[in-house]
Amino acid sequence: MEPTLDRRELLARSAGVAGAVALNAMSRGELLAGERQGGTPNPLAPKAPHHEARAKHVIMLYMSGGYSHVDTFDPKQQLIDKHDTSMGKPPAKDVSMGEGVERFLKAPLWKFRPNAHCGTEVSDLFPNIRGIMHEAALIRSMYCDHRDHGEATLQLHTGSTTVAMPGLGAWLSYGLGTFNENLPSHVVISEHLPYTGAQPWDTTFLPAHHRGIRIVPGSRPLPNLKPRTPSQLQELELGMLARLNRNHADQRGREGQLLGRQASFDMAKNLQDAAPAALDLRGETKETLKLYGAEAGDRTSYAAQCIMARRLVERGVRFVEIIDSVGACRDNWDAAHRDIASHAKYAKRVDRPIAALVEDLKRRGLLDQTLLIFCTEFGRSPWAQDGKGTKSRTHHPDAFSCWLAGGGVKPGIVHGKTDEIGNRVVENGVHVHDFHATILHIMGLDHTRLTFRHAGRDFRLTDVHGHVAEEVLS
Amino acid sequence: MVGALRKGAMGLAVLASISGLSTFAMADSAPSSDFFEIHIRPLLVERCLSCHDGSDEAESVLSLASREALIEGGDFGPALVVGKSAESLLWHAVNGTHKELRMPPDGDEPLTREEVAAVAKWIDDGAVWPKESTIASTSKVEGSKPREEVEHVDLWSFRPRRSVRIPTVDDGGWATTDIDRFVWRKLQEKGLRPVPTADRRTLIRRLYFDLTGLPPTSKEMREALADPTPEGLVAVVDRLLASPRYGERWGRHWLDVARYADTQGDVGDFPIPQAYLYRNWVIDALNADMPADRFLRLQLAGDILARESDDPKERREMTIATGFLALSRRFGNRKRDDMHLVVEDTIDTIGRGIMGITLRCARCHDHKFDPMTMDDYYGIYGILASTRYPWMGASDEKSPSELVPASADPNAQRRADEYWELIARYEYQINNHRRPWLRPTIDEYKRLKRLLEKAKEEGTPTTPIEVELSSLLDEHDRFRELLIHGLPWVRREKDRLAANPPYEMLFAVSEGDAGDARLHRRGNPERLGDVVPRGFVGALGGATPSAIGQGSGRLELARWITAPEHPLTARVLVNRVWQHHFGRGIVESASNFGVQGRPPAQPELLDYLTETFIEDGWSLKKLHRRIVLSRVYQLGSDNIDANMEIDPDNVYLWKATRRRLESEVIRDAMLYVSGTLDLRPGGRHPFPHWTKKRYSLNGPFKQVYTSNHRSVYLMTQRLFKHPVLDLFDGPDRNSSTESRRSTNVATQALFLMNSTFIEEQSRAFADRILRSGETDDERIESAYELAYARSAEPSEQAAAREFLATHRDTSASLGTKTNDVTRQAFVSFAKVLLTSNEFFFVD
Repeated sequence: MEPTLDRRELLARSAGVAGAVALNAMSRGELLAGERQGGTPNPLAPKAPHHEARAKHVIMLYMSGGYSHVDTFDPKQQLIDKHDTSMGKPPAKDVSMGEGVERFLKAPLWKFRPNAHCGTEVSDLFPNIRGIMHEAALIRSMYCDHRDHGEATLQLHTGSTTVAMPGLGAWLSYGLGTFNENLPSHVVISEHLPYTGAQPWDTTFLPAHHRGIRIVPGSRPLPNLKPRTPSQLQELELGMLARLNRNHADQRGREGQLLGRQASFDMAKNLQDAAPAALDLRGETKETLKLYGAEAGDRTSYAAQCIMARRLVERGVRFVEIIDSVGACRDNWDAAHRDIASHAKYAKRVDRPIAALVEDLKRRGLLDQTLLIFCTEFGRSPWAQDGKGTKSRTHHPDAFSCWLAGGGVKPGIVHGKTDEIGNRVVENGVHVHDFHATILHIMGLDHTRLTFRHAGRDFRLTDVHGHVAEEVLS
Repeated sequence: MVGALRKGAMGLAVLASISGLSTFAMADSAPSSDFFEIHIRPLLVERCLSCHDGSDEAESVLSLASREALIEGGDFGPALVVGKSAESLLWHAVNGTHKELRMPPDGDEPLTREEVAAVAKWIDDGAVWPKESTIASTSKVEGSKPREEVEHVDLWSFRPRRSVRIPTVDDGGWATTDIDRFVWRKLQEKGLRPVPTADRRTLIRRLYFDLTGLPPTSKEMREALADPTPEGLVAVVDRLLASPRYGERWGRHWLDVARYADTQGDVGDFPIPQAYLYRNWVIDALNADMPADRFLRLQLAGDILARESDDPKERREMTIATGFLALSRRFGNRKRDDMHLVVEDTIDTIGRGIMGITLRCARCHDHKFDPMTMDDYYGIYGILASTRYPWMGASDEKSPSELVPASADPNAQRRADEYWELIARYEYQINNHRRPWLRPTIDEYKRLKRLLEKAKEEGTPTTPIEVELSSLLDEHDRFRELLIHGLPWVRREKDRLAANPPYEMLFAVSEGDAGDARLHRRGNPERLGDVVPRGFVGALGGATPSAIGQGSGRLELARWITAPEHPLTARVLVNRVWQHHFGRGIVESASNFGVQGRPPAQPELLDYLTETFIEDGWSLKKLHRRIVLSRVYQLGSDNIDANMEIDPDNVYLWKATRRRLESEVIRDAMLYVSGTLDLRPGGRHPFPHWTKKRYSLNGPFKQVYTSNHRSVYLMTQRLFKHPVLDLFDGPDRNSSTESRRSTNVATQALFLMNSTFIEEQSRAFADRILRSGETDDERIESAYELAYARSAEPSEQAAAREFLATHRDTSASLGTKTNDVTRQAFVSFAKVLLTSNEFFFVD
């Protein structure tokens, strides 16, 4: 964290890093002039954290739909031993419609094995992720407040299960700014809209600069990114626009908001030029592509998305999230009334790329600056959903597993514990609010102090809750 | 963890943090005491004290009412070992790790992990308890203070308006109206010198955008400039106020307050096909200058007031007005699961939107700053709980219900309800016909039918079988038609009904079963407290339940809110009008006139305006007229350095604040200038009929309908934002919007550079320019007239000529066909004008 970084230096640096077209000298001057008048400070300039940050960037790997903890990261011998044993009907409060179906325990479909270095057990769904678990702190005691996807997805991102609040990425951008002003501070790679649409990366009441920019992997990653006219003509247009705006501002005392709006065109031009480069994988070596399991020319696979995330972080983007939703909401980790075996398809898609991302960041010296978050909105029931011997597991907000790796994270540990069947948390519970508090803490922010005044009061990501899980910190 | 319960708790926490947050944020100064107040005291009160309050009647001898009592302990010895949670009985009892005790006792929900952790932390941190503080079992933490005990908070906005005297000022003739005299006095007081009046052209453009949301055409500008006298300006103002564009512009301002949307906001975001009727009602009411008290009253109780009207058309309109309430946000998968949140949204919109108070804060606890209690909240809650909200459906209950028939027939509502209930019944049968649990019933019915047939053929007694059949049907009455007629019949019948509603169905509220609501302890609807008599807000003189007659109390609420002596309603409305004219209200926090809001910059001016507004019969148009014809409205937007030192934000109005156009105005002005705006009023949206689509979390409604109507008529969704309107800081569609922002972000500029929309508008505008003249010079001139309603300066002419020439050359060198070169150059030129700062800002 370089809170005192000089702004000129930053401009120069960011332009250099991205290999972008240098800022138009006139408008940069205006921008700086505007700043001196207190007119248009760059709202995304890096800000000092509350305490020393343990990481500079975040890559959040969100598995949409809720993977089963008892089939992935939380081994339970009892489920094997007592497979098909009845737990009775669920309490009425847990049943939303109709009658509760009797619950029979269900053994995991995959075998668990330990990581060679730290012994953390992960199932055969994730052989490659198991291979990097010694870099990660696995939390087996996650829990949240809601059993429906929409509410839980919102909570995982914003803390709230009801009304949309700003998401984690927006709060981080607001609290810390970003390093490259040619790129957004907050990027969400999401092939399909997840549950609740764009709300997880919305800013709601936070200033609009902090909103996540959604990238759709493929030929049109961002709306309006591609110029409609040849670059020579676009430059003519932008030059003419700058000229009109300059005259207009000159007659109006060069007011800050006028200069600020002109500056946004300069930023847009830089984004237009820098974003395709950041997302272009042609410069990646064959060896790197192979590590991730990406094909040459591939722009859409999860592997390609992971490489893009790395490239964005390399270029100074503060927060990148990849939302894993294969075919909108109907084709994801949700195994309610579906065969839990469908997990294999989704795990296969992400397992190798994610392990590769950890390795790749590490060898580039970026892992200790980057916090990786592997997470989902809730777990899956230790029992079969539709009666004895059936194949599905239902939504389970009472216990699930997530992991953190990289900057500021104590590697190779397991934090928290569920009961002998993975039904409830019995030790070191980490509520989603605690999870958020911990992430903010690693990033140098005190979740109780990161506030924004709106509609008469101060809001924060963790509402009035949240405890930092100190045990997972390095 | 129970979904619903925790959900309630979360909502509660959000609100509890009104105080909790600020204390938490002050953690450096006095952490433990705050921690106790936020986490421990409420817990003790809510979960423990009913048995452990230390009184003689208490169920347990152990008292949790003070630190000393905890240390002293009860039958099991000391309950608290300070600093050591692991040795404290209290912690083991709530954590479930004591071998005999488990608290709260059987049947009660155990404490959450968070709560247990909080207890441990509190003990480990020294069990700090504020000095000499004990908790009484009737603590106010979860209940409400009696209304009459609300402390007197000397809050300016809760006091009656004062009749103010117009200041006499020595201003050398600067002031032209009474408003100016107030402003002048303030400027003098602050040592500020006003800038000169804006030139007439600037003023005309400002008035057009302000009153109609569209720029003047060059012809209108010429005509307006033709008469430079004060009367000339008055004529322009009167013309604009009479224009139908006025209602569209100011209707949009009100729709911000009313958090208007065309969808429900639940997980499926069900479209509301009739919502547009409310939107158009707002626009029409403003155009007709309906007295604002009536405007508000109808939105709160139009359905009830409609009973007094003999005119069916008027009755229908009055009912439609309650869309203000009916369009409250919905949540979740089922219609009534989160009703407390729906009502909360209504109360918040009435509170902040109409009265400028954050009444919603009193959902979980008495208001921490303003003189409002939980009883105030639940007094109004009871009124709304006695009101029926309409539904277009929900993810798990797909058909509409409680829509309001547009009919004077006293039986219409009952018949409409029966109609929707029957559809829902068939819907339920269709949805469940293949459920495994229904199978045995269907089989049994078929078996009995076969037996019956057989008995008839064989002439054996049929009565016993008929009795059995009949009792089977009675037992499974919900499936009667399905059993008797089979699925195809039920489907057909449902479709037939759905296609033939007995009345026009409005999305409006109606009167339900009147009754008082019970308080939700700490905002949790599953923890009901005392019954709270329906009433309004005590500190505002509204705690008189006897005023409520037979119905829900909504009409009485509406009358109370819109009474001239209500200290807030008219002030808040007048302030909003001022806010939109000047870019900032006299009270900057336009939706919060409470302690946490901003004090009025000019309280006397606000009261003067409010008083005259009421004398004028709550006429908004007269208010506009009074404001825009003042000197202060007509000031230029230049800077004076000395003033910037004193009042950089222009709070005291020494100049006009330059403003960027709002999102709707940006779009409208572009369409208008490019000649593609459709100025006809917008009607209903092309939503699919409700029977054709089902919406859920997995497949929510999501559409952007293309249209060339003004932006106020665009379909507005709750869950998904309109791509253009949202980009330029459009309103929140999920809660009442106090004011718009004006951000400059790169994605806006990208849109202006590269989007299809801008490309289309630029082409249309270019064609218009090309048609308007033969030479570059003529076309440049007319482009400036069209875009800015002014002539191009010679230097601008030269710059444009140069641009066009360079563009042609470059474009030709890039291989553009000769025929297209000029048009392309003008498309680029048009785009530059449409996206320029001069286009986007009003001086």
